[in-house]
Amino acid sequence: MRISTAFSFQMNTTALQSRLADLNQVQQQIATGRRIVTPSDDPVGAAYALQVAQELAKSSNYTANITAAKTVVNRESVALDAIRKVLVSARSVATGAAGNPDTQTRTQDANYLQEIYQDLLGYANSTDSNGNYMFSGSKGSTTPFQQVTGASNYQGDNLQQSIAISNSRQIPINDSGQSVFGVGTANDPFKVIDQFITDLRNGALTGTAFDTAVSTALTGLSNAVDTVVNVQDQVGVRSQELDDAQTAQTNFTSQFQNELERVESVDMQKAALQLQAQQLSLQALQQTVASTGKLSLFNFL
Amino acid sequence: MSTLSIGLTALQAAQMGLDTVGHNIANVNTIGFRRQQLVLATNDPVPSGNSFIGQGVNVATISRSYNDFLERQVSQNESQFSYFDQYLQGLQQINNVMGDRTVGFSAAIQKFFKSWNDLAGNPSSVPTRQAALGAANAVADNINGLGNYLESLQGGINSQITGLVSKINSLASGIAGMNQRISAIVSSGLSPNDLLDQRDQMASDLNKLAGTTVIKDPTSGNFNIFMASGYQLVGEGSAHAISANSSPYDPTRTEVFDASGSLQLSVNSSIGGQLGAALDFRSNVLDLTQNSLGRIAMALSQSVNDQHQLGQDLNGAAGGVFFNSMTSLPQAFASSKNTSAAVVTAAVVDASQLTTSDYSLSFSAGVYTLNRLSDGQSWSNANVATLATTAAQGFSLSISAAPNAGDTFLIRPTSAATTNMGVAISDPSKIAVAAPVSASTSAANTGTAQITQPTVNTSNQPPLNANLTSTVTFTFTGAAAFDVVGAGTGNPVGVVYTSGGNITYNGWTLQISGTPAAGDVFTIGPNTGGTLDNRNALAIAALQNDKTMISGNNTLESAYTTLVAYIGNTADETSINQKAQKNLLDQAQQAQQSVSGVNLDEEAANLIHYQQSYQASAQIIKTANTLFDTLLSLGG
Repeated sequence: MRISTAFSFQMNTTALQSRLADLNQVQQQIATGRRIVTPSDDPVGAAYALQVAQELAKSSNYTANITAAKTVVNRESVALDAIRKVLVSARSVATGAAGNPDTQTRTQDANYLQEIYQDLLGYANSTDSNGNYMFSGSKGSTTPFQQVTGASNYQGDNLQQSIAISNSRQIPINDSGQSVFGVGTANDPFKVIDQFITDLRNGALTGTAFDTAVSTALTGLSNAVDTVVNVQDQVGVRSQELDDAQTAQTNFTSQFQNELERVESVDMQKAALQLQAQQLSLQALQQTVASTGKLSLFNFL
Repeated sequence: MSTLSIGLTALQAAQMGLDTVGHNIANVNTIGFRRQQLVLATNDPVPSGNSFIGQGVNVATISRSYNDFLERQVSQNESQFSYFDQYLQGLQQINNVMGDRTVGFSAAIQKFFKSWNDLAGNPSSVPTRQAALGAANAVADNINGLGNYLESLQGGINSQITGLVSKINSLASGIAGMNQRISAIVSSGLSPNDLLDQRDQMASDLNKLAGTTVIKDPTSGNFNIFMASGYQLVGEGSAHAISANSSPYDPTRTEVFDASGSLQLSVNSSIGGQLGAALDFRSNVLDLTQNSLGRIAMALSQSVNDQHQLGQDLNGAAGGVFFNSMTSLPQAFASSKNTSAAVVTAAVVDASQLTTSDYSLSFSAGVYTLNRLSDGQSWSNANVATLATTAAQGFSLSISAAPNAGDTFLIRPTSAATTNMGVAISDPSKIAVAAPVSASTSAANTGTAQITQPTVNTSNQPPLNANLTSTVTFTFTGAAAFDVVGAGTGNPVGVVYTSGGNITYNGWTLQISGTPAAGDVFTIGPNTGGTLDNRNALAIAALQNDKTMISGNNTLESAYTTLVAYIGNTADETSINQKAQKNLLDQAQQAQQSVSGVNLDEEAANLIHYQQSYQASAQIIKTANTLFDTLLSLGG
């Protein structure tokens, strides 16, 4: 077969260019650390990587949600524990008052309960790190409990804030003051304590009437403690669910990361070997072109 | 005394040989040059007695090394290769910008949804709200950035078409001129090799640009050249120009027409070569990419706006539109050939029904026909608005006046959305994170029934139900029924209670479950001061998982993934085709070049060969001269 001189040079140039392009591709892969630099490098892989990246982003959203929710739940848990302790103190005052104490003791008890009332009010109006009230439902900037004579005056609402912890699950992360303090019921601790203080200070109230007052206070405060404990149980369950969800999402996150790594990343060892092989083949071609290019009958004329 | 004249013919033949070799060597790098060869013939012999005496040599012709079959193969592969090569160049421009998932649309939309999750966690925080606006603006910038880039590619295609058309016209008229010159020479029985080479090369260049077919006139040898559609670019000695002009629908879009501009040639992949590739790339990839991206933008904007308007902002006001409304963005172009002045208006009604196709709307015999260009699906109706409703393609249609029969319109529902994405609010407190209504349980209830917080029905789009936030009270008359009191409810009594069943009034829905007691009261009313309420943020964050947003079965991100996969696959496939065509072209060229190409070693050998012939011929003349001298000296 005849060989056209110009065409053979042209073919050599094409071959050199294509080897260089191959080399460049591997170099780019090594430089970016990614096997898929443009979608056409691996269309199926590129689309899959986008899907996995999307799941990964969602998973890290949920993880962030859970972390934030845990802070809220832990803070509420601490506040509830303090509230329970205050209520238990109030209850022991009521228990102590059962022995028909003298006027001085009754006054001391009343004063003590007055402090407890203030403590309770303080806890009930706790704020979080952003200055939002913890027990006002969704009315974060409204003081939920105001001191008024008689019953507590709840200014919050019934709303529980929820948070998404997975594609399909939202869980509530707080409790309203109404549910923690049984607002409006006979067991509202503000109402019970306030009434008991009045009763303790009422010197005319003695004998059976006083016994009844003590027993009402005891029942009310015991129920109030029960209500708080009940909420604490729910918070415990919530906290457990958040822990479980966090573990699940952490597993998902690492699984998605591994998957992305697998789909997108360059096997550096393989790429390095490929680079070497391509360099070698380019060099060989360059040498061939250089040496065959020198061959010409005209050199011998 | 014929020795001298024989020597002279030999000398002349050798000289011609050297000239031919020289010409070959000189044109070793000339594109389209075909090796020439000296064809020699013996002169007619002279009878002498009982034999013939040879009279030397003459040059019969200088032939061109040309193989019709191989040339045709090269030409076929050339137009195919040019097509794929050009197509690939276009694709790579899109493929490259969609590459990086860490900075593209995908990353932006993920951050957007993350910001709504953050809002749900921190409903009243102004910095969180500010960050959410930032993330929304980033999505808009990303879409507009990509949209503007695609628009610039459209501009590039327009100038490419104009440039290619002008090159095609200049080649066509060049070939027509060549036809005239060559046929004049051929008719005199000669073969103008170099002119033939030049015309072949022009035809080959034209073929690369427009994928043409050459039909050679058997007698004159003239080239008649046709485009794939049958349009004749060159006929004998005259060229028929084509023109690049605005589409009759869209003045910003360049199409290819015949010389008079009345017949559009760029329809349905009817053009090959680079021009065909530019046109096909535009309609198969670029338009589709713009439409897909536009559809994503429209679906995102509508879904978020729909939900946002059901919410309540930090000031307690109803949520407004979050993204700029895209309802009026669908484009409807009237053909410049229409005989009426009727103007069609298209508007988005349901973004989740939009497709990535464009549509043609035609009117004849009192009936409108809407044709989906991607697959030819069509709908007809005498009323244009009813037609759009029946077709249910996500947009509505209206017309300013009755059109005339034969009038046509082009509807591009989604394309313009790619450059018009914007966030409508700039005040962070205007983000509607909360819901406008909330439910409360009376503290005095004695039953165990629980009420869920009401959700505003998605069907309750602005104008919102006038009684949405009116106070409504449910009072249970027992464990099985309740009375309802409140504006907008009609105050029904004895409503049957089903635990967990939906209860809907005034545009909201809630459930009560458990066992209520007689006298239990639940109240639904406006959400005032609910700065920590995050219900609407949760609903918008959940749109990330909404599989109904795009054509009823895709999330936003999966629609984008589909687009990236399409671009990647098409680029990959085209690259494979381009490489395969390159190989075929190389093979065809190699075969053609093995016949027609110049080999310098061969020419060097021929050079020596003719040099020796020349020397030998000169020796003949010298010998004749010596003989003559001998004769003369005899006389002396």
